[in-house]
Amino acid sequence: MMMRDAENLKSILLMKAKIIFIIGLFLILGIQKNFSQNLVNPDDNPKSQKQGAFSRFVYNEKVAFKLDYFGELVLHPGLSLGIDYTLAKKNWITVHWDSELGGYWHRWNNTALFLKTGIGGRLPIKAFFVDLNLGAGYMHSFAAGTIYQRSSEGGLEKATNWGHPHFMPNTSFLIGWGGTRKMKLPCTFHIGAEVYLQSSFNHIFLPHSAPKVGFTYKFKKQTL
Amino acid sequence: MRNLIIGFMLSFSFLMISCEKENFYDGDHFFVKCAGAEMPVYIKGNIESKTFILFVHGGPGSNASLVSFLPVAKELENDYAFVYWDQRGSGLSQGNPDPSTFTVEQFVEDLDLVIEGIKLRHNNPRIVIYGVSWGGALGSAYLSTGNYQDKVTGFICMNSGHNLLEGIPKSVVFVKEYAQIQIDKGIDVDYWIEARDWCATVPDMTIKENYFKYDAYLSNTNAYQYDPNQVLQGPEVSAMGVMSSYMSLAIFFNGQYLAERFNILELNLSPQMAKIKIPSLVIWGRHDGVNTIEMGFDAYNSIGGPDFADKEMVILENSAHLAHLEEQELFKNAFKQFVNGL
Repeated sequence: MMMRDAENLKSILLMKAKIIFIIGLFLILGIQKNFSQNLVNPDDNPKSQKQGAFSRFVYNEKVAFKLDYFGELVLHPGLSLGIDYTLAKKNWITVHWDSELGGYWHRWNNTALFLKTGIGGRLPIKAFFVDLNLGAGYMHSFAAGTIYQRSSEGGLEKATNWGHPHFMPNTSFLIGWGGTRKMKLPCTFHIGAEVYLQSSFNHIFLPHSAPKVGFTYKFKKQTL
Repeated sequence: MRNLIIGFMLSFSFLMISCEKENFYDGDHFFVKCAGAEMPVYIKGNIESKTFILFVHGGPGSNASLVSFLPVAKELENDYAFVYWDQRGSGLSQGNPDPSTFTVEQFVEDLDLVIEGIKLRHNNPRIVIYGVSWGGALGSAYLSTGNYQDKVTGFICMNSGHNLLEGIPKSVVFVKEYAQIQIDKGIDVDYWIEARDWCATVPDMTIKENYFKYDAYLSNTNAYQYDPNQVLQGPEVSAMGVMSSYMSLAIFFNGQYLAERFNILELNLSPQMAKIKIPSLVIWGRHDGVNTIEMGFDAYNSIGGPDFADKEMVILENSAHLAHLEEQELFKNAFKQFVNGL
């Protein structure tokens, strides 16, 4: 039994490392590639020559930062922070690539951290928009409470809370407001729902729902 | 614009603070970890009474978490501390336990960890195991293993499935008789003729496929609820309560994987129940079609063996498998009388 547990733990940790590596690689390579393709030529602006890569990224027109309330089953509080990167923009749609880091706390149940990425399509309707997203991520959940296990002496001892790794496919539907063109706002506000799955959880894909309420902010104002 | 921002901030603040709800978190909780499962234990009610009723849920694959919202449980919590433990692969239990851990022995080990956890956190209180259906079987298995019964003060065994090897064929007879009554009444005649004739073949109920077929027929009888027209008091928890308590959607999705893989169709604990020598109460619904009244007598006779006197049996005459909901007052009286007499 002990041997099997050790093997299981090893394979779980290996799987966890692989997922983190793949998502991380995807994020880094993707952002770098797209960023380098879409940068404003720094030679055009002498001021920007002095800026570092980080500043150029932050002030890039295609980059917006986002902050959301992420309420697992609505009222279990969480936050997600992320980057919204515009991949393509037409009059009728903006295709964007989002990456988010977040977590939530479900008291007496579990605390979870996640890193996820996804593609979305934002459809403008006058000053408003609807946003459909599809993505995948890595989630790590921890039992929210003291854990006991059998000690080697046969009694009870507190167990280290290593948590459990999960694959986290997700989809969300948001509606939002981006301000009128006249207002030239650097931010948009949105509200909507995300549905995501937690796998493997007792060998199933456990569904979750979470409302998202938040905003995106661009340090570089949009060109009209 | 300013109003929009203020509105947004107010909504955000409301959502952030609204999770702080009153009494869902009164009491104690912890997890026990064993063989791939992390199982939650919630303790509610009168902890000061120093009498802890450890509820062992049925199934396998059902849950205790939702039972904590039953009015009948809430009432009993006024007198005792109630311990709600979700078994591996069930309810709000977490982890990914391997199917090879779905054995009676493993569940007994899990139950012992729960008991050790209660004793550790609450300074050795009196513990009474209250097991319903599969929970009654698990309680019986636990108490007849080694010296585990020394850790427990009393045992309430309700409508238990402690001997399915002999019990399920009796339930098949129940289905057959129920089918005949429906045929005589002219209700869904074709369906019930098919059910009656299949039951008449005396199928081997240790074969899973046969069990699932019988179970489908059984669920259409009054095996669970004697009077289908009686309105039972189910768990009282609002949507807002679910959203602001420790509940999660796992309550609806866990259990199925376990139930399909945990084969207890050949379970027969009757012989080993003679080892149980602690005060015991057997409660049974007279019309239980799942674990029939004959199995109630079997449980009563098996506990402690024929010479053991510290046991009693209460039959709820107008109930079936959900006797604790069908005749709540009688159930509560019997329950309290037994526990207070320990």
